[in-house]
Amino acid sequence: MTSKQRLNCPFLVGLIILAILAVIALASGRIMISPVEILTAFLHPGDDPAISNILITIRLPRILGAIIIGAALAASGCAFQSIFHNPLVSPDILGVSYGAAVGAAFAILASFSIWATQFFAFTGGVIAVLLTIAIASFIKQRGTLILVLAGIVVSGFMQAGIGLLKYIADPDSQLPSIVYWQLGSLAKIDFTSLLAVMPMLISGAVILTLLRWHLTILSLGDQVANTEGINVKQERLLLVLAGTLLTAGAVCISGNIGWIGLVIPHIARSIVGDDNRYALPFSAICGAIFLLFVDTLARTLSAGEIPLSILTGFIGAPLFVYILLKKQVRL
Amino acid sequence: MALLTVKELSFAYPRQEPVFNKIGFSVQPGEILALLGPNGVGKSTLLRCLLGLTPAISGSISLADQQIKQLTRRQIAQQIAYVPQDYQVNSNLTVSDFLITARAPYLGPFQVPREKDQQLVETLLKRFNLDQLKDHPLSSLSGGQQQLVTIIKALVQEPQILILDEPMAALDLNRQQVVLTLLKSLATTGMAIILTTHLPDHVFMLDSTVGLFMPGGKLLVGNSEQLMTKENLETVYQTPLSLTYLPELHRYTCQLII
Repeated sequence: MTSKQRLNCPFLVGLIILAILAVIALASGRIMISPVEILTAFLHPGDDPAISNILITIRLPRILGAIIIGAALAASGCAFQSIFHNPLVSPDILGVSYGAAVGAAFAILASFSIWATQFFAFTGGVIAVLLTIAIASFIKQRGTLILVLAGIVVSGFMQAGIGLLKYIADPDSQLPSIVYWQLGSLAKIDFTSLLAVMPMLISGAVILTLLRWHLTILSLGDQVANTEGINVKQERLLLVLAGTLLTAGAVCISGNIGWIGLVIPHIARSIVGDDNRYALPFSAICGAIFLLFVDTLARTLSAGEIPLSILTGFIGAPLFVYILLKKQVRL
Repeated sequence: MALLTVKELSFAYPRQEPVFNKIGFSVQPGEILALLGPNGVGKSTLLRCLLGLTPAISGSISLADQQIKQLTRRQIAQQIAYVPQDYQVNSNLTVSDFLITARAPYLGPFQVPREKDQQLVETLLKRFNLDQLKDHPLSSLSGGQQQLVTIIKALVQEPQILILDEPMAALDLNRQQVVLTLLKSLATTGMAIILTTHLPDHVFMLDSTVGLFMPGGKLLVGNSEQLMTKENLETVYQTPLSLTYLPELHRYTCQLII
């Protein structure tokens, strides 16, 4: 078996797991629906309108949402880790997620459309990541922790911004929507909101996919990338924008879901290796599996919905400690 | 025609004395130029200027007949490959995935390596008897192996000029022998080689052109037989030295007087 064939195996297994999980997720919920009923509902939606309604208008968009958002967050995290050649960063740690949440919360407060909300989420995310990069470059020290510290500063600032917006929001109409952003949930996803963020997510994904090999070269450091003929500044900016598009698009419809962008890329790399030709798409598959799994737990474990960040935190934090210990990340 | 021509090149950090002042030299195909000078004299800075990574304050650098300022990074990378000093490979890429990154100058920004790029990598690994390490992560290699892999990566780039910053610094005697022999044989294929070293003996072993960093930011460039005198070397290093001819090796050796 050549090394390329060996790499096909994890992708195949990943996609099969994702498919099985999607069927389980469709079947599970307050009303259990058997695989046979699922098949019938999709083939002859008229036979049992109640079941079809649950499956097609409630569960399906949510499942697609979990797959797309999980993939987007993990791919974005994988990209940011390579762009900054830093294993400790993610959209949350760089402040991108919180910046996007500030933008989205502002748009909600101003009662803007979903399109304007996306624009503000993206702008907030870009401002946050550029601030993080600027602060890190002012502190003229090298090391992986400087960028993380700058990200904590910017995240803190952005969280204060969300706090302020919550303070001035109308407690009856606007506050609940904004609070929803902070906890992260897929409960409100429908086909309309999914379709609305697709242009943003697709453009981010296309840029990352096209530049995935250059992403690997950038992960070797600026000097290597420069001497291998890459326009580092230009490509890095383009990749940061692409990563931000993915994160902001996800934040727009699901709020802040932590840990996926940080932990999943490490798991993906430990299976297919560090080359982003494979690690980037495989991170996306793993992220989709992870979020679909977590979201299915979130809506079936108890009668009420458990906010996603609680579950991703309980799973993600110990996993990250394990990764830090096992990989012996150089700080 | 010279592959690389440097004219009246000066470099200084802001508000400081110049590191080097109006220096000039040219490098022909198949020529080895070894740069000698004490720590901090500006050897690495000069190499970074030649690569277009650090802009000089005045003077010109041309590759063939084109000014380096007017070339894109990609065009420069098609002509010059660089082996940095003591490169710490902080990556878990496999040796093969690491080496193939050097094909980037020949591929479009959205392209990934082709089958023939992979074949070139495998041929070079075989040539250095490292093909069994192909799928090993870089971080699992020893320092000497990493240095050798970094040099092989520069060859994967198929440059006309190879620039190496202290390539022998981290190597044991055996690997120094391997690298010195390799550099000599690369030069016979027409590749121009510019390297820095701390050991004057390397210049004698390579029988190369030498560039001596003299006090005051001057660079003396020329034939090693003419320039590698006791007086010049003592001026460069500011310490007494002994220069002895070794008849069995047909070369000189430069030693500290201790």
